Amino acid sequence: MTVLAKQRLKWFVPTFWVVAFLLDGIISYTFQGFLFQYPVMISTQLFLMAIVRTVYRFPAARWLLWVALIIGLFYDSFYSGIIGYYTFLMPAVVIFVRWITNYLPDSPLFQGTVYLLVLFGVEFCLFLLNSFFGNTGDFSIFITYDLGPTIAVNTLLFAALYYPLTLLLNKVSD
Amino acid sequence: MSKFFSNKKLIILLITIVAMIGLIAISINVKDRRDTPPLVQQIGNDAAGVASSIISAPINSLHTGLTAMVNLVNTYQDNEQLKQQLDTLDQVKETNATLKRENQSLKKQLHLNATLTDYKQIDAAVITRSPATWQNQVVINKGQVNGVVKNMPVMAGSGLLGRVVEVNKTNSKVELISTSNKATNSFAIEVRLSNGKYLDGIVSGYDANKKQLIISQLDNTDGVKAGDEVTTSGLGGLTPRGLFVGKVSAIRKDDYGLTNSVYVKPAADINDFTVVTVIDRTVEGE
Repeated sequence: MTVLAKQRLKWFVPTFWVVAFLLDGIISYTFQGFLFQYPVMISTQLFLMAIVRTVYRFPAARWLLWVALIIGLFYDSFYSGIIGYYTFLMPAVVIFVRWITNYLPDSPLFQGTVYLLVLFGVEFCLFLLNSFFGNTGDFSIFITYDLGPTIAVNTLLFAALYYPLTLLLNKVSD
Repeated sequence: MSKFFSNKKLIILLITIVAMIGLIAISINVKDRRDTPPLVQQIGNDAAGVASSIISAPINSLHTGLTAMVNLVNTYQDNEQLKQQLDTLDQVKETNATLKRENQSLKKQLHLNATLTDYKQIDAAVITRSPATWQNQVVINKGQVNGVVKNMPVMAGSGLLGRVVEVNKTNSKVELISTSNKATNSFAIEVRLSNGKYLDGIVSGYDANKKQLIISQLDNTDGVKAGDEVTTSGLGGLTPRGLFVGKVSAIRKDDYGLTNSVYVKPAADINDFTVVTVIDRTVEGE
């Protein structure tokens, strides 16, 4: 990567992640009739997808960890008002993806697998933390009505956005 | 493959987990305080609200356009139905206005300034909805500067939608009535029986499978019938009396067969609203 591309990355990544995090809420609100059809509750995770895609593409950029921490903090503060969930989980995702890129090649299939793994992990951690603080239903409800549909919808979003995002990330690093 | 967890990393991980749980616990504990969130957090939330409005502008206009088109298709049917209601409505309106006047003059005679049924309305639009499935929260575009206060009830359409749980300068968070949060404040309600009597209870939860609210802690459920109207009772908090919640759909025994719970079909469509009304009770709360 050239020096210019590195500088470009420094403003591109925060903007890209902030837009993705705001789009999560906007999509949830615009399609609430479909996404929150009780008991089914689907959470869109574009912010998480943006993090996985960016870190997978630029694993050497160590500062991504701090960007994830700060935007995670904003995410918690803006959406739930309870700070701690995304503030800590998103930097953990950055560390995990950076570690796993050492062993897996950069291909759509592997990126998809890592994204699904991370999505599963994050959703599961969120459920555990929420149930610890008395904010959730049963585990069986979580598996059937939350985790399953959430993974299905987010996999579709990942597949649909794979090539547009690849083009965008390539353009930035040129 | 190198070890992912070296000893040093393991210690850092443990400290991080403890810090995370601690921070969440502190956030939950201070959430109900009147002076939270702190100003810095409010400014951050306001900025995020503005950015969200900018990004959502094209999506919202598309959404509004599509909804308008769908509405146009249903217009004929709606028109027929509304015409039928219109004849009776004029009479009801007139009676209502007369009763209001009479009520005001009687209150004046009794030197009552305001009662539990008096309230002002603050109209607001929804900016965004929390994608976190467990939270059931939406962000609205009115805040402290518009007179919104924590714990005010929020209506959508004809029914109760939820409660304000956080107020920033220019936006606020509303927790929907369908929340599974066990620590949230319950709404005090009353069921109007067909014989004109009222039964007091509280909204104790939401049955996601049946899409109905669960009312419990009623003195007894004798005389409660499907179709009875449920409204807020104005007891406790900042909720006035008489906000429509919904209609009774069934009475069921709890899991142990000891107490009866009343199931209520909410009047507000919990998953389809774009504009909400924040209710400002005239009588001051605690």
